[in-house]
Amino acid sequence: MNPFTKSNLDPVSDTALMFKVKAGDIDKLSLLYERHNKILFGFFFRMSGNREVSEDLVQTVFYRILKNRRQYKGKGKFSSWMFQIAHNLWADHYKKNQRTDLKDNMETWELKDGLSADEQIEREEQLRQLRNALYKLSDEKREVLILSRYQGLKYSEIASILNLTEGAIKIRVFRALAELRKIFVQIDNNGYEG
Amino acid sequence: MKDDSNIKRITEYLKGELSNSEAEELIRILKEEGYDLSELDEMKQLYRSLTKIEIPEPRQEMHDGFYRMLNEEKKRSAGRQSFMQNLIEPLRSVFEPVALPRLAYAVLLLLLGVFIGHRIIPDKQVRIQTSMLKEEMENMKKMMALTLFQQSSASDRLKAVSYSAEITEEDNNIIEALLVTLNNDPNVNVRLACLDALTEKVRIPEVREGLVQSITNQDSPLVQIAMADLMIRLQEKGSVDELRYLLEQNNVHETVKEKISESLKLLI
Repeated sequence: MNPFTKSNLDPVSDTALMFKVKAGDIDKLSLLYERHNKILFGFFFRMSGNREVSEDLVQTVFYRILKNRRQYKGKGKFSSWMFQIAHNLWADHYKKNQRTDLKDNMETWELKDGLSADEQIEREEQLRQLRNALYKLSDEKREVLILSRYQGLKYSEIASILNLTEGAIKIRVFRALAELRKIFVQIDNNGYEG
Repeated sequence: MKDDSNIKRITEYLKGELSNSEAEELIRILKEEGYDLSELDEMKQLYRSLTKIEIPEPRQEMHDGFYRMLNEEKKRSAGRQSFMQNLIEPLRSVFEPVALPRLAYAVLLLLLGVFIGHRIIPDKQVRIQTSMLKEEMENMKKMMALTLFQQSSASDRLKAVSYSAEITEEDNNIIEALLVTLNNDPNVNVRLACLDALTEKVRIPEVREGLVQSITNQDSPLVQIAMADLMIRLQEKGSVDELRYLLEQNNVHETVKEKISESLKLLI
């Protein structure tokens, strides 16, 4: 048996797929979409708390990828390039809307199951407070926490997305967390904040 | 907390990027500096709890919207392509296989003319004419190469690569055509020929960069080995990440993995 058969080869990498899209095989974008749409939606939802806005922004990211496909150089990971587009898009959206869509839809956030009724209530209350604290952070601090905690990106990758040094990112994460803790403690002492 | 280096270590600790011994060392330093460790514990808890907040799934409308957008772009792109084809078709007919012998004959006559002219025309004029002729020849080769790259026959695409290799001038279109072919051509021989042609142009930074990026696009063991060899010859340390990526893939052939391991030893 020939060991060099096609079936023995790896699934196509994001970079290879994007080069195919660049070369005109735009159908391959659907594979990239299937791989990344949920993670992008998660990013926008955690930033905006608004499902509709997040869905629109995910579509716009892929629209921009398609329109700018000829500019793709394959430098670094595809996901870093994609998040660079998402970051710029969010910055534009935020400038235009200045958090108007925040909080309105926060009740749609779901909480994990699998606890007793009392534990569930307590956990829900804590997570609600944490969610509120997260939204009280500045946009910059919330973004860096979301990218570092939810999107599985390394600090070096976040640095290239936000065009900062790795050290600056680490310091921003630390300050964001310290502030998050402070706000969380405050909310906890004052009871539930709606 | 004022010390930036401690702050950086704490974020690495929270993200789980420190080994046990490094984490212990960090805790010891923080204790010595009088840092409130319960604060660190609380931050750790909060950081972990962030992932417990779940989000809803995107609705079907989002997926429908994406596929609608993709289909529209496909239609637009097909329209643009046929417009371009209408423009290119008359030019392409000049380079059809039937016309190629005629073209070759014409070039031969031109060269003969130059040779005879060289004997009878004063030197300076000859030099001017020769450089003009060289330029024309380069342009003709470029056009031939770019046309042949589009052909469905692998032997035509090999000819395209061969013409591209003969072009001495740095031409972005030719370089891009070679890199796109290296990354996408279904024929291994064409890809290997592209690699050879690009090897001659490695002094151009875009070519070097393109070659490094191409490593992870290659699925043929022959091309993978050839690329690993080239990276050693070029001593291209920038290729280490790409080679490591290949090494981590389960479906890369063992022979290739051995070759890559050797290459990495020489590069690092």
